[in-house]
Amino acid sequence: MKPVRRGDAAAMRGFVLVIASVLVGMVLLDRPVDAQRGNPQPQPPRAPRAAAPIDLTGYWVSIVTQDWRWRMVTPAKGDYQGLQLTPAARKVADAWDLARDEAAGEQCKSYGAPALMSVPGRIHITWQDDATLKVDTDAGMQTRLLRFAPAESRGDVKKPSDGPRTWQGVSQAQWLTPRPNVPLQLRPADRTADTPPLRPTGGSLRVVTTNLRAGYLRKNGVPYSENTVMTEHWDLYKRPNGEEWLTITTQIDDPQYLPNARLVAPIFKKEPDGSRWEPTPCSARW
Amino acid sequence: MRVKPSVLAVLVAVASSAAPVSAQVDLTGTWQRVAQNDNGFSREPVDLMGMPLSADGRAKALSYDIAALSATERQCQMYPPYYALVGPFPLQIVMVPDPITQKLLAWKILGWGDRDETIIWMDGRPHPSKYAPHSHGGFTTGAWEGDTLTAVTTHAKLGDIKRHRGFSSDRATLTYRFSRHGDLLTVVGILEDPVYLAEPFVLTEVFRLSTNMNNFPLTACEPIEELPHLHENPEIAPHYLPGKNPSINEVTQKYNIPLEAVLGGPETMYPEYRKKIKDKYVMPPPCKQGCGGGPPLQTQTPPSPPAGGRGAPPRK
Amino acid sequence: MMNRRTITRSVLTAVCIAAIGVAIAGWDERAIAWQEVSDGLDVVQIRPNFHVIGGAGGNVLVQIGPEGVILVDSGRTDMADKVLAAIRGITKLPIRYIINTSMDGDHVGGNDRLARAGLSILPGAVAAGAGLNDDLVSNSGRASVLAHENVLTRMTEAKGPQALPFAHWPTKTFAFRQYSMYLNGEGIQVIHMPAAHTDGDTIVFFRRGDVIATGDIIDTTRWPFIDTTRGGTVQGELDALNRLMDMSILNVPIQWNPDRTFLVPGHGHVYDKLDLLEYRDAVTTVRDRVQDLIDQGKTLAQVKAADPTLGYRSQYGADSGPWTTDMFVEVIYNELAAKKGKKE
Repeated sequence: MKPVRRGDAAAMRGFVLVIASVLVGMVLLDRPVDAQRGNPQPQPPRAPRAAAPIDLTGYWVSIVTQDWRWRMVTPAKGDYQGLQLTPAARKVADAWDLARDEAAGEQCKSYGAPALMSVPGRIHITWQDDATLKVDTDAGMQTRLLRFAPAESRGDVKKPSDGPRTWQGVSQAQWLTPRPNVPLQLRPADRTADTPPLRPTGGSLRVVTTNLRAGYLRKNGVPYSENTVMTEHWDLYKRPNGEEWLTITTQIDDPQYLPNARLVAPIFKKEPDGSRWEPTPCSARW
Repeated sequence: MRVKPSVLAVLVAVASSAAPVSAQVDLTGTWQRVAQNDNGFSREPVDLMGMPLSADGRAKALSYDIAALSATERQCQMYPPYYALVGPFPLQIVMVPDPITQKLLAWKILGWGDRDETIIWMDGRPHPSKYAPHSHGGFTTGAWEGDTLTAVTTHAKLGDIKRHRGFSSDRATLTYRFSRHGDLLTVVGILEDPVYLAEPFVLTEVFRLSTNMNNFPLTACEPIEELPHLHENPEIAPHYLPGKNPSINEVTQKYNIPLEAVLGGPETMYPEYRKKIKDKYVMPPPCKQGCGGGPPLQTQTPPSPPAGGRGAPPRK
Repeated sequence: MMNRRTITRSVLTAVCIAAIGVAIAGWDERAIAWQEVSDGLDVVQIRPNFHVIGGAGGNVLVQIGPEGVILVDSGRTDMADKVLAAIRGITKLPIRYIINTSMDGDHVGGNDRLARAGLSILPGAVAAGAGLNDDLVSNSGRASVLAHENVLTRMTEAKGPQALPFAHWPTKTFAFRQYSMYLNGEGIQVIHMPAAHTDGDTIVFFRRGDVIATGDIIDTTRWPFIDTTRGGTVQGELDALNRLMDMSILNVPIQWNPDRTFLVPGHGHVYDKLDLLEYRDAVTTVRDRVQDLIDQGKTLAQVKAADPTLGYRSQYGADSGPWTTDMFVEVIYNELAAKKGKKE
């Protein structure tokens, strides 16, 4: 075998280093820039609270600019404007009896998770622990627990577990952070001095809720079944003037009562404190 | 050959700078309106509930006589940009590349028959001077905030906020937020108007990516003489005198909602307003007409545009 | 063999170069804006040969062509140098005419400065400073200043704060319905609008460019100032607005086509016919409301208390200053009440 000269070996090493550097550079940039900082050694995953790309905590008030007469007052029996219902749903809704619900102690039937975020009121979001966001409402005095499960244990989040059915069901939460997978045909404009920083910011919260007890989408008895799956995306918007707005894009799938997924996106505005927090119990009639 | 460290550094830097800026998503496609919230479907002419109107905004809304639409100049008038959230048709979004560099220059939301297109400039250009003329669609610039596109529109004309109910002036500013979640697109619109609104008016709408085309593109429009007395006396400005709007009590009569709530205002947006009207509201009798809840909506098929103007009979 | 120190230095160098690369990449050329800001003035190009200068008091319309520059109005006296600089930023061609839409100080205040910087097209004129004797016809070689005769009459009669120096007075007037000329490839009609904002109002219609300078017949920032001390009337104002409606053309049938008649108001942003319609309807609506209240037998105080401008106060109203909402209502009331009195 011909001996490798010292120069050849050095050239080979240099070539390999160049290729490796280019490859490393491309790999590094295929991940959020955050991951490129600091110690390149693998880190244990951060707790959801620490990893939160947006801060949802605080007091938020419903802003009722949509569906006003179905949310701010109890609409007439049989008023299904804006809804698409199966015949089975109409049958249930047409049989709505307010007095019967009250007598049966089912005043909270219209405060279940699929309807709760559309009930005019305030919500208070806190961390119950590092992996659970707690959402309290003053209207109806309900509590939702949005639990973050490790990815490997999530399973099929849309399949109900074997637990009891409740008004708020079981909610699995997940942070979604911006992804750098820009299609190749899109070549973003060069940055200008006043565009956002290169580091991707923001993100949203995805929540899937199952294990629901059958309830009402509207106070006048429009039903959802216990097989309902609700998928939400919580998006935060911080305006330059300091206002903060929260939008919850909500998809309600219930083949029994809804021929198509019901999609709504209620809006909340952040308040500086809880001075307007006013807990009121569930009411079937108001 | 010995590779100098500086050469190696340059190669790494080249690889780094060639990569695209992260956190931008593809918004192209036809987005079908799928949200089921009422953003403007109300049938009653005076329905201002939940609209944070100022005193001027309320007065302007109550003085509005729909006969004003028959003025030659208004027959072909297009809705303002906010109507993208209120109107019934899909959003068709395309990417506009720079003709030379092919880089993203703008997003364009194509127009409908009665809504002008919206071009969202992404190249950092400034908004026009306050002396510049206004257009139906206004002037819009955008920037990414993470995965969300934020766009701001100014220089639009006076127009309806909700179909013939409530107005935005030519001093209004509209901020859009486009957030894509898979095949869903949530659009938030924040309308601010120092003339007609006491607080920002915020609406959301949810769209789903569709393979259907938008069947109601921009269409040419020819005015006709709809109301003879208006055309014989063009100096007439149709409007209702104060206190004379004939439709002011329709919502109250149909749904028992107190008139003060029907007339809108910022307090009607907040949950505590329910306390104010609780004792004034009685649930109306069961709905017998126009109750909704019907079968699923088909893909939006717009009506055929009339042969000319809004008052002409539709084509057979 | 690369040692650890070399590798570290390479990585650091790469980071620095990448950062510089990003910074350079961020300095892209901005899309060309179609406006400039010059000395606190906004210069907006609305047609290839038409610019509007805003912020000089009243709006100044600049029309440019082979024969030179035609100005409609000249802004305030203290802004004249800046207006001239803004014009020179657009073109070096000489100013030939200044056409005044009224006698207001914020529209004629730059007449002297801008005319001196200009050059008459009339016989006998040569470059300024050539030593000619005064020539009244050619304004001593300066640009001509054209206005309706009532402007000159009012200026000669004015005393006190409304008085303007002789140097600002028009050098050419007309007393009839209109004065027309053809310059820069444009048919230019200077049309008298009797008894509108004042009795000396003119609009200037550039027929080929389809641009109309309206003076204070349209003021997008407030209710039209009906100067009754100088012959202004509400009916005349409405007649003028309706006449402008007749002269303007909207972008139909292709509504997304930007081509349409532009109206350059005395103050505020450039209008088109639809904007004009809203303005006219606002004035008409208030007039109708006041008429209705008069028909109910209301006094002026009662009419003011009824707030007939509600719906438009934030857009056009003012509670203080030289032209308030109350003043506007009072002018309407007095005119309509006088008509009613005459009828009775």
